[in-house]
Amino acid sequence: MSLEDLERAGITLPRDQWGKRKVHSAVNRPLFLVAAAGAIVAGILMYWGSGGGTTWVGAMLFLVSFFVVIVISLRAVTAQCRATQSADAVPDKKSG
Amino acid sequence: MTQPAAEGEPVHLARNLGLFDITMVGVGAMIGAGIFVLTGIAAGPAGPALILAFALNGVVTLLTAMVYAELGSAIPEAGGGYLWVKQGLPAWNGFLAGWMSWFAHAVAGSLYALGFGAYLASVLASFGLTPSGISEEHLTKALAVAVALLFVGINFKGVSEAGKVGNIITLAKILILAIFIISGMAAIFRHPIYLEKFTPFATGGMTGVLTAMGLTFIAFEGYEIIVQAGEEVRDPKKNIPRAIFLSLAIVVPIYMLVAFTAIGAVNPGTDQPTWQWLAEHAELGLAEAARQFMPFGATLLLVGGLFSTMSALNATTFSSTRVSFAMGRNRNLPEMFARIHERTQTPYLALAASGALIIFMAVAIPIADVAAAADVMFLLLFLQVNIALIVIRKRYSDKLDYGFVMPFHPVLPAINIGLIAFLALFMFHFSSVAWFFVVGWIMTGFLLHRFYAFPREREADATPIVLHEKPAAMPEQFRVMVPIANPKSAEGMINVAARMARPVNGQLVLLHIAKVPPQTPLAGGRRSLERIRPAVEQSAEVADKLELDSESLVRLAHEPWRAIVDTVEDHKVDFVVMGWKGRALAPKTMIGRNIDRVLKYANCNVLIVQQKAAVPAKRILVPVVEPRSAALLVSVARLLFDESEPESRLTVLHIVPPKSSDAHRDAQMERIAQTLQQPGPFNTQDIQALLEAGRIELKSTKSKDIVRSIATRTRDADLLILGSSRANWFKRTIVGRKPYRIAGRSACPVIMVSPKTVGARFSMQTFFHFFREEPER
Repeated sequence: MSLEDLERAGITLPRDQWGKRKVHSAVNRPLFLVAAAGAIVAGILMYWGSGGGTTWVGAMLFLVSFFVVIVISLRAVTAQCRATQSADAVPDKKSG
Repeated sequence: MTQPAAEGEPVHLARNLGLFDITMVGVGAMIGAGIFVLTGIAAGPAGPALILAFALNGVVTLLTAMVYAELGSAIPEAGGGYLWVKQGLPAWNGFLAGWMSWFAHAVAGSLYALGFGAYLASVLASFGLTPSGISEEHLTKALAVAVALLFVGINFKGVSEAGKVGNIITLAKILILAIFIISGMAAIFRHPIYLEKFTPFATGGMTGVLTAMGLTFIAFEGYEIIVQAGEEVRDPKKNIPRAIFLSLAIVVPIYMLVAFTAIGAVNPGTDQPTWQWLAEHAELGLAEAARQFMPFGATLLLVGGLFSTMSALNATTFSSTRVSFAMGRNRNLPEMFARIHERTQTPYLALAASGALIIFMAVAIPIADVAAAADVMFLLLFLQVNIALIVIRKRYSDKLDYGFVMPFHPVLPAINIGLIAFLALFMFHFSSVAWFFVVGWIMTGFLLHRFYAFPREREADATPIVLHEKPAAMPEQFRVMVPIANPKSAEGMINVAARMARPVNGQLVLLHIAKVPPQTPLAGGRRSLERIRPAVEQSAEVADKLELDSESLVRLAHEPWRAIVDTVEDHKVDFVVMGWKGRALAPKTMIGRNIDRVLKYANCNVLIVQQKAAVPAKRILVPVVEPRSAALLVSVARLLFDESEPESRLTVLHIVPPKSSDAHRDAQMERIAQTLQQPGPFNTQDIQALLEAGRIELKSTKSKDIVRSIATRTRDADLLILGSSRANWFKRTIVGRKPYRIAGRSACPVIMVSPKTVGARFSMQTFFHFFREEPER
């Protein structure tokens, strides 16, 4: 399937909008980095905890970090779609 | 799913799946048979650190899931990963993704068949129904073969698992695991001493954790089915990425808790560590664990396991058949794979091949190696998808509408590529047998693509010929092609081509290209045929007057260079004569997009003729830098040389750097003279006679500035014939091509000769080009 096929299937943006949108992730980057760091630390704690309390602290920290990434990703989906909708709305306002 | 309708209009399925439905699809696909079958097996190498292995697999899966969320929201087509790989990477990757996907799903089917065999053998044993004289291993394999045949039969009849039944099975699996976790947690909290079973934690060290990760990775795949159902999802841009993340949020903690309870709540009754006890029970580990602390535990787990393995086997038989069927339909595999049975309307040969693969893998190697083979193949598939993300983001990001965009691109996908590659390679440590099968399969795929699929892909992808008027041509006839863009300049081009074809009784191929706008399908371009017909007739008349064997054809194309390259390939053209206005010397597009592309991709000699060039010419200048290129250049010049006039001269000018010694220069001249004694491609045997008669002059000069030196001499010439090498990307972009600089400053018309290059397609230039530009299709 080529770009042309994608265009015909209505998957791409309209041609007049090509090159006008900048792709930008709506994921909260600082929070993502904190969660990623948390997951790495959690893995280390689980491993070095040798089945003791530290391991379970690590497991909890991992789950929290994992859920933080999931939540910020879900929020990013909402933000991304909202941003796209407002970008679509701008030309309408201008024309109207 | 989009399917072509009879009238050629696309048909869309109703978008009736909401966020909840599609999340359940993902959860159901992930909590398949993997967790039931592999927990015991993976406990062996990892020990209690199986929890960590599941957590780390969750990280790798989350990163790949982000890739699926991004691409699935932007390109929500049923093809999913296969489509993106085909879209983003060179064509053979698309083939390979399908080929690997077929194997991965079939081998996953083998794993589930073996899991079913083990579970049923256990049930039979508990009722004392085990046949005598047959070992447990052989019974498991025999049952695996039987269930695989059963599902091949079911799929042949076309009976699919109804949606509601599928949902009930998924909910039943989740419920059984939930009871398992709750009962296990209760047992652990009743006996806090059980927590000591987690010490030591990583009994196999990091090696064990990585092995367990590789082994159980298959239990984490399945979320990609969300994307495959994308065309049926309401608001796919939003719901597909959300469903992917929600599926992971449900599945990863469940897996970690299953591992925690399986290790913590079991009491082996001896000093043996729990993880060892689980490993001994291998694929039945989870069922045996449940027997200890869960009401009707073993029965429930066995029933759950039987249902899970059957439903997973059904799904993998179906999906592997669908992949091989699609490959047959796309002519990537023999077309018999796409044959549909008259009565059942199912792809029976694709199904038979998939069934044979499932059974072979189940019988040939132990279950752990089967799991490892499936894992490695899925890892390699995800690796391709991650690479495809980077390429698609670079090429198409400004043309797509995203619902989710992965942060820290391309660092994050690059890290994921590294992790996946490492994990896949690490599996060699656990099961070299699995890797041998995987490598063997991939190598077979490469060979199949090179010798079977690629020629058919080209044929299917070629720009269509809509008009073809040709006399009977000899198969090995020398062919000179003239792509005609401008009928006004066509006569000059045809004359040049005729001069080349005549000495060797060659054939002229007159190619007309009807350019179709990118928005219009090629088939819709037939209307432009009438517009082009006068030019076709006009050029055919010119060719007739020349009394040469000729053929005319019209091709439809979005890009003219594609039509030229396709004709070179399928008509076995030896020489292409292309017209050039003689400007546009920008560094990126040296002489025009079409000529540049033809030079790059056409596997033949190319002659670029400045439109104002008139042949035959009386005073021709042929500068030669490399003696070996002299034969072709002088042969071409000889054909365009007007020998009827006594004062006509063909000057071969060899230019050497000022620092060259006279001895070196003389040696070079000698080499040129020797080269000219060879007959050359046009059988121009009179060159030697012309040399002796002084009509062809060999001159040499020392010059620091080759461009200026030649440009100055063109004032005394009627035609300049230059050799043009197909320079690499660096030279082309940074320094520009010398012949084009000379052509730009020449006082007389120019013809450039670009010789056929061997193996140019796989140069580094092509490699980098792939990352720089969109593919042309």
